Amino acid sequence: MTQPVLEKAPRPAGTALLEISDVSVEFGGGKKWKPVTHGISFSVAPGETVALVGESGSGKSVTAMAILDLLPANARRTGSIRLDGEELIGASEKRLRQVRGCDVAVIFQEPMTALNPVYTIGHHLSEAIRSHRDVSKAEAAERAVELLRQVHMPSPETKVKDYPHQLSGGQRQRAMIAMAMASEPRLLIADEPTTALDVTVQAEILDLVRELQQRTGMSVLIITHDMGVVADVSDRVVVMRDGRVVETAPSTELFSRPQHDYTKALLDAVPRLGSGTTSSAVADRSAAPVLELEGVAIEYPGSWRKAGFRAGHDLGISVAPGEIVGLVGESGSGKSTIGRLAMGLLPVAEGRMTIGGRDVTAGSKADLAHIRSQVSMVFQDPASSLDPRRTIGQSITDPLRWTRKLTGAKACRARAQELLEDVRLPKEWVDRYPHELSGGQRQRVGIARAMATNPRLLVADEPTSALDVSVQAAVLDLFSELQREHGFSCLFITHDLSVVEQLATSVVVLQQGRVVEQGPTAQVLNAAEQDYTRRLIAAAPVPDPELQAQRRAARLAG
Amino acid sequence: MRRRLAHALTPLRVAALVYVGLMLVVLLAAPLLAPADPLAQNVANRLAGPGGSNLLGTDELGRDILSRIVYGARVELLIALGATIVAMVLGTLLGLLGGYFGGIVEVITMRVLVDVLLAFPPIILVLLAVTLRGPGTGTLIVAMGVLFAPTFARISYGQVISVKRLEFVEAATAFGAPTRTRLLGVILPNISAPLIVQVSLTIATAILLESGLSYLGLGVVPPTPSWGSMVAQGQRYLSSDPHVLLVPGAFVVLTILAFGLVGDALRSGLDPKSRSDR
Repeated sequence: MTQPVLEKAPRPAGTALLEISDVSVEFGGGKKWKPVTHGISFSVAPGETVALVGESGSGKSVTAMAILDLLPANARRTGSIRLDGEELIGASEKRLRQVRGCDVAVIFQEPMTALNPVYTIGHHLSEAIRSHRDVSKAEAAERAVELLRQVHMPSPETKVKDYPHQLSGGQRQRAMIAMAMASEPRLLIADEPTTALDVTVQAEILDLVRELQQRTGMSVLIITHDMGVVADVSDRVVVMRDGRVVETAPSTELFSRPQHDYTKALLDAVPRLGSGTTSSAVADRSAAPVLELEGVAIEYPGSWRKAGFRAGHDLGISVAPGEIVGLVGESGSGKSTIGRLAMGLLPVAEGRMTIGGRDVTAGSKADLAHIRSQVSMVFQDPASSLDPRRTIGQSITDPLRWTRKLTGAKACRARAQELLEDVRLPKEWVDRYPHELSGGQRQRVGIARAMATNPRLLVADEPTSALDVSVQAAVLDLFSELQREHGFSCLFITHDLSVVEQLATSVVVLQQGRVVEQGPTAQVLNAAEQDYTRRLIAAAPVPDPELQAQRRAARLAG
Repeated sequence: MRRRLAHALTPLRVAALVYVGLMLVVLLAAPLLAPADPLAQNVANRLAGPGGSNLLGTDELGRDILSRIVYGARVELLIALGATIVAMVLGTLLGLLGGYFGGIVEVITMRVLVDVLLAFPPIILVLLAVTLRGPGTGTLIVAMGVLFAPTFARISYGQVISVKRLEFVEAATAFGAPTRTRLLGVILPNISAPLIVQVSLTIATAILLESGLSYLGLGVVPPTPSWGSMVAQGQRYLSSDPHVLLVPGAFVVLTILAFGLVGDALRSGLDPKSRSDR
């Protein structure tokens, strides 16, 4: 057995680098303090990677930020946080600053917002180097290039002169990691470091973190919601829920023999690539397709001095009645663009588009009205796709009011209640506002709104990517049920292959605005013909440490 | 709705609302409320202190200050509210159109109209209007309204730019909302908070500007009383008889403050997120 987990020598007890015991974080002020975490205890040994997992609101980020006292001003921490035996709670601000710069480094989820847009990458790095080491500017600049080379930044000599917006997402995260490594930290705290990245880039970043760790012997505390990432990098896992630790176990054990019910439920909810399809959708290929694209090109209109941007080339896609087509690809592949085209939000630049048998290529007023009567859409982020100033009842029936299918406050209200019940929400909620609902509930409202016009084709643009896994599972179930009941066709846009496998009857793989591969789900995912498809499948982390170790070895060898 | 209202109404804001309500009553019923004729001079009783037969004292010509305040409120509020409404409607419309459509519409609304207007010094602009149309309430309302419109245009323009990119605006387009609905039914409610705050600020600025203009003789024509001209005249007696300046000055301050607080109350009352159910 060559499990990377076991490669490291077992450490004697009591030599933890980071020892967190009975830490509670409370928010509030004056006499009213509301605890958000309750007596968290865990430790990180030297050279160890510990994953802190949990869903949103579990307190994982707050706990990590408490280590360096990076909490908001209205928060306080109690308990004991020891770094190499030194108590950090109650330490002076001066000492904490030293710890932050030198012993412990942090990388964040969104490198674009963590880097200052008006400074070059080189400037960021030099600052980080000079803040804890007395070196000249020239030496710091030299070291900056060296650091970038260490994180495998392509052409580091020129990249130091670049500004953050000139780098890709993956390169920005590499730069962040280089900054963190500047002080040769003993502990790296990574707060959802790959959540904003594509799977292939995520795999590279995780490989890098692992490589740096093995070379420098630092410890890593990684905060994530993704069980695949956990299985990929961690030695030990701390599962959190509602501000409490529910289970701590070595990752091989956690995945094979989860003890706590919540851990089991969490693992069950993760869609697994390779577990076969459960799609109940049946495509009716004898009937005319609901959506048909023939040689379609899509262009984002430019301004009067700038040419438009072509986001789709020679697209040929067909959706049969009752069929769920999964559109997959990385960011920038044009998958959302196709969804917007089908919804009539973008014009057809070239080729031919028919919806429900009618040629709507011209995009005239009548064509758009036809599209709106046949096609509907579920948006990615229910927090921003619902108008915060309107009650959910109003939002749900807006499509009917706007297209004058239904008028009158009473009729609309009744229809809204009916639709709320359809998506398994209490009809009494019709007067609530979006901010009073949880993420999953909001997305149910988004689905109800899309169903309001009884569409023949539903465009679902990453409808679950903003949700926790357990919520995602419930929303996907609801989606399948509704599809069975109403028999609509669906264009399901996602970056998550396992969701596609679970839901879709056929798959279209996109890369840079072109269709790379398409066919029945099982065929594309199990016997992919194209390299790109195979790379996508290989990069998606699976929640199984042993399998993930094999895949990593294969990936690094290949 | 009721909970939201209860949350928006702090005791201070209720006091402000009551004050603004009283002012509106004064605006409508000045002749019934004023204890004396605001123009009647009584030189024998000039510069009398507050508290005697004249509740708030008399000015340098022996006119009853309380009566002048009451009549002045009428002119003051009419001009301030009128100008603000003109500015708000005009400015918000320009900002909405420019921000939403961009391109040539933006050039016309934001660059040609708003920026050119901002290039003129305010006093010169009003001077021009007064020269052309002659002094008077109507002229002042329109001139000051146009003068204050660019601020509203700038604010709404910036807000529209950020709000129009949000998914719910795209959702409205996707679900077939006509352009007018998108602008007035979806975007406008979501940019209203800073505009409402600007309304109370503009009312305050309008009161100040009107005072300045009256001082220059470009505003309300004497002997019609206005708070601004009362303050201006009171300046001369600041050391000997401060009440001539302080009484109208206090009303200017109170009124500005009250409108500010009413603006706050409106803003949180209209925002669904400010309900106290968390």
